[in-house]
Amino acid sequence: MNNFIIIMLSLLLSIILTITTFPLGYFAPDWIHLFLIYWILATPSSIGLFTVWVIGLLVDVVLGSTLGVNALVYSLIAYLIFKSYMAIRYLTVFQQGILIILLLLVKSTLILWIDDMMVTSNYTLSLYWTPLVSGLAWPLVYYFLRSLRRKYNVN
Amino acid sequence: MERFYKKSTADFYTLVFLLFLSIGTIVLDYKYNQITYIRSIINDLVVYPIDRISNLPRLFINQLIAESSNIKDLELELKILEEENMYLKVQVQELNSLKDENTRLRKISKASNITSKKQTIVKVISNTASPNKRVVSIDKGEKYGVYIGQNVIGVNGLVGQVIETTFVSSKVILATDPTHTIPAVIDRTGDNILVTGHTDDGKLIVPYAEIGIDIVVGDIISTSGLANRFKAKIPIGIVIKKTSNRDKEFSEIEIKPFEKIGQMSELILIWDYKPKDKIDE
Repeated sequence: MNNFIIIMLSLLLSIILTITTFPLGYFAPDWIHLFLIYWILATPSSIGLFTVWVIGLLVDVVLGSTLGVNALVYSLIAYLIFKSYMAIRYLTVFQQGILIILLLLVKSTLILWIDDMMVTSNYTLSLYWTPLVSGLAWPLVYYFLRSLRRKYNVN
Repeated sequence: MERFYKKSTADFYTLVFLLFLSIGTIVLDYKYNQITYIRSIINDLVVYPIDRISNLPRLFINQLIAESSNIKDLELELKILEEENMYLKVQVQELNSLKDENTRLRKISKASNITSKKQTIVKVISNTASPNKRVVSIDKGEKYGVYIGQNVIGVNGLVGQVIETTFVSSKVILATDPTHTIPAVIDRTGDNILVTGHTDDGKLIVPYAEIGIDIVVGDIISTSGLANRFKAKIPIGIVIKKTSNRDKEFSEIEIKPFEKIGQMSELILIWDYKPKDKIDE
């Protein structure tokens, strides 16, 4: 239960960070996804695909996108990480950062693709700043959440 | 190794199920607008409180700035406002007599134009409620009877319209959003045009204006009321640039809005106009 509370509180923090960094536009890191990826990597047993899906739905409401778009890509990327977290854990933080850039590039493209099928798309190439900035912010998130995890002994 | 594999809670069939569930919600949300109430519930219960919490530091900083501003400046401002108020009062008297005359004339011509005075001032909660769209959140929702399509103005001109309502808050799309288009009219000539937002903030453009269109820098643009989306005769902005390039099919016309759209902290909702095509939009 302790694990669950810490994870949910940190995700709450990530939502607050997302809302406060809205004015940065595409230059704001994808906080919620970074936090989620960390928890899946560190404690894959305490978070399930359904939880990820519900968080994705919440993200859709926060960002005002079509309900289900983020839920879809969140569960897809979470699945990939669930299946390969053993390998990813052994990479250094910076290698993980590069991996996250690639994952989020795929995510941005998927969202772009879904939105383009509907008429709501008004994207430019600057959309791809988000994965890049997120990758750079990864070490920060990693060390912050690791200290949190060690302090409260989440596993 | 098998232990680790079992520990992982990700099951392939769960993924497939969730993917189909997502596609289902996307289709429902996009095609039928059936699940907007789910969005409202999540918004009111989770996002709205978080929004409020995340705005606390900004409010605190704003308060500090406000308190530290000079009393002398405030006195000066008060003086200017008093003068302006007097001037405006005189104008209102004139306008009232004109209004009476107008309604009298309209009665004669049997084309009654109902003008209700009801307006509501709302506060902007978060300035950019979404990074992809130019949308702001306001602090009044269905509780106060806010409806989708309600026109939102500032003291100088048009700002946008309500696109989403929940119980305690609403979202307003700004006129400067690149996907937002307003049916407008040139006040001087009466020609109908379409005014669209632009990726540069604080700028509106006319995307499809023919080369020979009679429009000059300084023309005032206001809403035309066509398509029943906006009330007629709300001022939008002033033409600041016109380039007629013979190589292109259309003139490039730039409009500067009267309001600093996107940087406002207070907006006005008007109640005397309801869009008619609310169902089949």
